[in-house]
Amino acid sequence: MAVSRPPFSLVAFLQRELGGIVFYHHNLVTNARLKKENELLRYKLNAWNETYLENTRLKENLSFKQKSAFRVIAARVIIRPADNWSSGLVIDKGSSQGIQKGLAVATCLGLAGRIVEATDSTAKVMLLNDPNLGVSSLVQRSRQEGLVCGTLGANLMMKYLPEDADIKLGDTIISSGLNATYPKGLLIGKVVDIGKDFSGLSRFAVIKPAVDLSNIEEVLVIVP
Amino acid sequence: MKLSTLAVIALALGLFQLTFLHYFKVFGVQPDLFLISAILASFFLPARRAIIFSLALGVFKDAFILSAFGLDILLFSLWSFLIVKITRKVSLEDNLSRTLLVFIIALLHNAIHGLVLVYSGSFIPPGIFLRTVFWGGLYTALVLPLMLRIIKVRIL
Repeated sequence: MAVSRPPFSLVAFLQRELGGIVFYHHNLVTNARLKKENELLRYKLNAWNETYLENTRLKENLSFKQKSAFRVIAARVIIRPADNWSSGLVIDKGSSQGIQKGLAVATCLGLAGRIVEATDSTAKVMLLNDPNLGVSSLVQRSRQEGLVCGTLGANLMMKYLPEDADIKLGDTIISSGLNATYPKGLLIGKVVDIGKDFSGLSRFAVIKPAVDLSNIEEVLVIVP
Repeated sequence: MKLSTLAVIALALGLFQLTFLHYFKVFGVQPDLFLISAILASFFLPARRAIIFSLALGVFKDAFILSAFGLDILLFSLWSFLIVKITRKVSLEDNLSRTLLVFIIALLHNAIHGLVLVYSGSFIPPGIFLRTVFWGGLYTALVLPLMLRIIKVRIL
């Protein structure tokens, strides 16, 4: 079927241009109104996108909450710490909601940190990459034990691995449950590098955390 | 500059640091706006007020950090005291000399903070230690001229 092209004639051109001049004010007002409407729609679209992303995250958290054997309390991140020497956040739930110092904090992707302080309505969370936090952990495949510590960087470090430790690149690291704070089996991350300690007596593994610790918006506090 | 104006600036910078500043992290490090506020107070307020103001800022900052509570209270007051002493003897009117002074202070501040953590048993790899000390100091110092310009243009 042939596509008919709109006829271009001098009359049509003049008609359009004259119309533009005659209805200039009307067009100007319509243009301003449409621009305003466009801005409003953009704003609404952005808000809708944000709600959609939040909904996706909350669904993932809810799914974790339903699958998980633990009792969890969902909370939002409201503040980040003010210095470069610690890694943590402040959440909008506190002791009045059942949150206490020492409880483990996770997201649907894995372990994120620990509660270090709780007030009535807020709590401070120390994240896994804080150098003051240590988590007793296991290599899931070989059951090799080690201590995962933060380094303030993007990765974590699994220390105190013996010389003959059975650990390979890509191995999954989970919490061992030896420390009462962290339930056994929570995903911590994957091994991305293995090295020898400075003393040469033991080895260490560099772990890429399962949770993106720099972009957490909602967390789940695990209540025993 | 009035104490109330500086208090409003410090509060705004503090809230910005606690909420949105992590989006502006470069190499995992963010500038210390609390330290900048304390230094601004030392430049623009009389000695006693500046030291008390810095002490209050230290309390504000320490309330939101996870380690070594009290260190900022101590250090902010000390830096404020030293700046007041220095500015009595040396003229620090241009932005370059002020930026240089802030760089040295931020460097020392970060180094002391890091060493306290290391000596309290935390493991910080040397690379991350040096990066946080040096880059944190430089980033803080580079933000100061911007703050001074904003204060000069918008407030004074």
